Amino acid sequence: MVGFLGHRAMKLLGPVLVASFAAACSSGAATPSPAATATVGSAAASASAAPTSGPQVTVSILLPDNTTPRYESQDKPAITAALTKYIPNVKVTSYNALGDGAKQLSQAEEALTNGSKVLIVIPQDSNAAAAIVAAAHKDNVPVIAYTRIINNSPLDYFIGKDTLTIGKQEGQWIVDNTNSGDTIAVVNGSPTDQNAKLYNQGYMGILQPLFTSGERKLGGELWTPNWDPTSAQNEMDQLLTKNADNVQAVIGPNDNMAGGVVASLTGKGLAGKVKVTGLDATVAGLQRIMKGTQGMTVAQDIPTMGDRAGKLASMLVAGQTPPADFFQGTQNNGSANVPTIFVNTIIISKQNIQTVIDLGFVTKDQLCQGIPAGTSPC
Amino acid sequence: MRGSATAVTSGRTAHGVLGLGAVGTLRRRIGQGDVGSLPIVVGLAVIWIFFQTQNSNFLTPRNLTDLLLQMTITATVATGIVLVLLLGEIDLSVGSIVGLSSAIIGVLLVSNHVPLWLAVGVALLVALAIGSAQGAIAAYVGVPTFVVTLAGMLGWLGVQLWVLGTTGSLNVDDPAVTFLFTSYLPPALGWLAAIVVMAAYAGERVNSNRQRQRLGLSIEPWHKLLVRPALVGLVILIPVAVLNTWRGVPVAVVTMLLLVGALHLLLTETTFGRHVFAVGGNAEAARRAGISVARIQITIFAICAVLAAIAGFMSVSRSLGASTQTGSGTLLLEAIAAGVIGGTSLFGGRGSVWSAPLGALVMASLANGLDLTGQPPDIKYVVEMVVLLVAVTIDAMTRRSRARSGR
Amino acid sequence: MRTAVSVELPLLECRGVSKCFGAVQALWDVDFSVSRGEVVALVGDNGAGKSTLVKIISGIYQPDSGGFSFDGQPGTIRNPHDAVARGISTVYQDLALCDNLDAVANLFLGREWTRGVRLSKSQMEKRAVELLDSLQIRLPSVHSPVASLSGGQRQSVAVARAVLSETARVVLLDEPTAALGVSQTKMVLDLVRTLREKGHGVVLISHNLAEVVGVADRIVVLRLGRNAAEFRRGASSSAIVAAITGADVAILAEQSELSPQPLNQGGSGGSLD
Repeated sequence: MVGFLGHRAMKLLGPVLVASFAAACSSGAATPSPAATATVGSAAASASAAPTSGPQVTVSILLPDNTTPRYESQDKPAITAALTKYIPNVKVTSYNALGDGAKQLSQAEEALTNGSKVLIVIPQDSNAAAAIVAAAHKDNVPVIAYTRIINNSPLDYFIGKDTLTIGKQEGQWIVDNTNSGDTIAVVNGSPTDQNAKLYNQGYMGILQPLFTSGERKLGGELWTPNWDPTSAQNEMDQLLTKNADNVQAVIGPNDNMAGGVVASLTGKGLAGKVKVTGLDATVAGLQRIMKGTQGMTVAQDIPTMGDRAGKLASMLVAGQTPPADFFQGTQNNGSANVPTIFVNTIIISKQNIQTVIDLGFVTKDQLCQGIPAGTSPC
Repeated sequence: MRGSATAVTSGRTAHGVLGLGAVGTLRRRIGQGDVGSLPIVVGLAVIWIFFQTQNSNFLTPRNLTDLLLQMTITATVATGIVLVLLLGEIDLSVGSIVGLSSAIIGVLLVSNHVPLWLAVGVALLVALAIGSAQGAIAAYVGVPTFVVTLAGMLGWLGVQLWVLGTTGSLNVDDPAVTFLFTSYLPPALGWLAAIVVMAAYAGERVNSNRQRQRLGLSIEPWHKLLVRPALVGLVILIPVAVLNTWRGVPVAVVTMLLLVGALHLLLTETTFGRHVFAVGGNAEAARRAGISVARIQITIFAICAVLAAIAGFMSVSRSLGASTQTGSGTLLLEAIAAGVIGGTSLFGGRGSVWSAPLGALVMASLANGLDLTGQPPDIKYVVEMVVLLVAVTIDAMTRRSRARSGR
Repeated sequence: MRTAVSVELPLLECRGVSKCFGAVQALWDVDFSVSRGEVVALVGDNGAGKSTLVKIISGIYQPDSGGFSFDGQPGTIRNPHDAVARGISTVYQDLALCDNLDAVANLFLGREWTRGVRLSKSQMEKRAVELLDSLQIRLPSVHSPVASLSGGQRQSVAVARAVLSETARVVLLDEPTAALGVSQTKMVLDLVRTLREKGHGVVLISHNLAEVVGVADRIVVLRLGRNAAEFRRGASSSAIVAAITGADVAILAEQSELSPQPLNQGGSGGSLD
């Protein structure tokens, strides 16, 4: 019998190795998926149809993982379409790091070696990606960080949601939809994710004064490693226990985790009676809003985001300096104030669900799959 | 020719005085490294008492019910892991199989409107194929199971994502699915189940004792015979009593315990089960005795995968849906940790499937208690790591003292 | 008049067995036999061909030439299964015991008794206890894992396993006392004598001539793949050593005058006079 590595000692090493894979991948906002070897998912470069005239210009898109569906299914097509629209002879290459920050750096280096003129990066690890910026700048290639900022680096541009403002919006929605004296539970995202911290800053910024003054009560606050919905569900169980079920509202904070929170509430018969916030406008989240178990979500105008990224890249490729009014402001990433395009975000609740269909975020079929007929807007 | 009573004594010596013999036996066994699950039961008690002092909600029937529901899925996966560990192997793909099964069930139910039995059936069959294939590649091609199942972990995750498609997550609220985690046994049924199990165990002990008597083997006196069933009875009746003051015994927990119980019987009462221990103890000896090591390996990996698929169904039921994150995260490591903490050796050949729910209960108690006391997750990780290290150290130390007390 | 010649036909007889591995001639025209109630020691230096002969008898190898007979009837051993079917069992040096299982489980490994799907644990235990008693093997408990037994006890369990089956006849023991201390060795050799008393044919492979001389009825010496000598009980160690190493024939002849039996160049006992 071979045994699983032929050495009994390796049995102890095995889980340690796997643990270190998992740890290495837990620093992103997305699900850890150890990427020792590339499997399904576009680890290799994928080129799009190209040039009409003139020399080819290569622009590369670097995606962090394939467990967050929107990156491959919404962001990448939006960016690619924009690049093709604004740069006539563009060749778009895209890479997926499959959850591995180190791999993403290798992919960036590969893109630079193949002559990319602009890198559009969704960093797997906001801190480690500073190395990508350094590598790109060595080749005089500008870097646009997309939807997640790259910290502590001379990052060129950032297109993303205004995480802090979105957090504030979530907090404000809670205030607007609860009464004086209500108890609010807070389930935060991953403690290693910068975005989670910014959301927290946003909603706690609105809520903390109310907790202090007694207008609202804090029912407890927990952080959820890996943004894991199952952990969120367990945490919600405990938060309900702590408050003897006397909770009127919960900060999700994103749709996947809101799903876990709602599952916990359902188990105690409280679904629909407790207001839950979410984010990302996933189909599952929207369906919960339609059914009344989730109160709101935040939709990002991804098509516009992609478009802005493409337009910005086209300006950089042409050697132009983007005009100041192209940006809405700057975001400080620890070492620089990065010119930032803040993408539009819309709060979606039961009243304006139709908007997501109108704006093309989601098709009616997708939204209505599995929903009993008669639930608006199906 | 000496008679059997003096030439060979069976391990269940009947010292005259009740109790002294038992303590002596216990001490001898600890010295010989045969501690079984004793340390972990003590550890669990310590953890429970500690958290109760920190937050008086911890040992309430409501929280204990939550706790049991929180550990069920991990316990189910851990049961499969224990089976694989008994062979001296490992299966790293179980998390991805959980995720893939949940995706298959969710998508078939919601998008394709397939009847539940078919959706679950497909998921189970897929898992059976996956487990058998992984076991076969390891057994016949000789690829170490670590490598085969690591590849599986990545590969089946990819299939899971493909099955889920662009939506990435879906809701399932079909009561036929969700009943598992929202239903409870009526109190009477809970009592009945407890009594039935206790009576069956006691009956079996009495029966086997009588048979031994008929054959002229050493037997145990009545009072010693019923100690174990009485203990088991307590272990079942007390929780049933506590749970019945809240909502009753959760159906999901009963399901998981039935699975564990069935596998326990398989391991301890059948030839197959004995061969599993043999292969884990000395595969070469098993081979020379005519046992097909490959067949054992393939079967165990298949069972492990099917258990993961059942856990996938449970996950859909508990989370009311499936997503790309199902089965990911720390599920795999927690399942392995649960098996080891519960008392199954990483080195193969020793352990019991009951260590899976026991270890999972420990892990879930830690997480639950840390949540109730509002601890940040880094503390959670560190605590779990310490507990796991302690368990593995105890395993290694008892192994060494077993070897020493040998020759 | 020969002493102690059994008129019975041998349990197992090999005649003219040869085996080649590529360019290496492991065995050449070797004769060997073992009779009921007889302990035959098979000795020789490394590379003499002992383990090849054992493996041929166990059915692991097939001889290139030569034949077997069993109680006088000719037959073949095509594979280990055949060997077992003919009542030949081998106890290897590494014992092939599962340390995590108890003595009963090890004795019955691979041939467990069941009623339906369920193991018949009590019945197996009873038979195990009977067997161990009949072999005068004392164990502290049949229920503790064999890892907790002493070396001699473990060896005894392995040997008992070889004769568990009612049809066991020939037992081959490969270096049974190699790793054991003095009292453990005595335990095993006593067991060998018990097996002989019960009528088994025992083949003992050993490097320890003192032991061999003490327990064997016959000592077959192989050298460089051939029969070199055969001695009866009471032969001197130096004569055996000389045969193993191939010392001067004169010395051997001198020795043979002192010992009651002449050199035997082949065939089983009973071919002279």
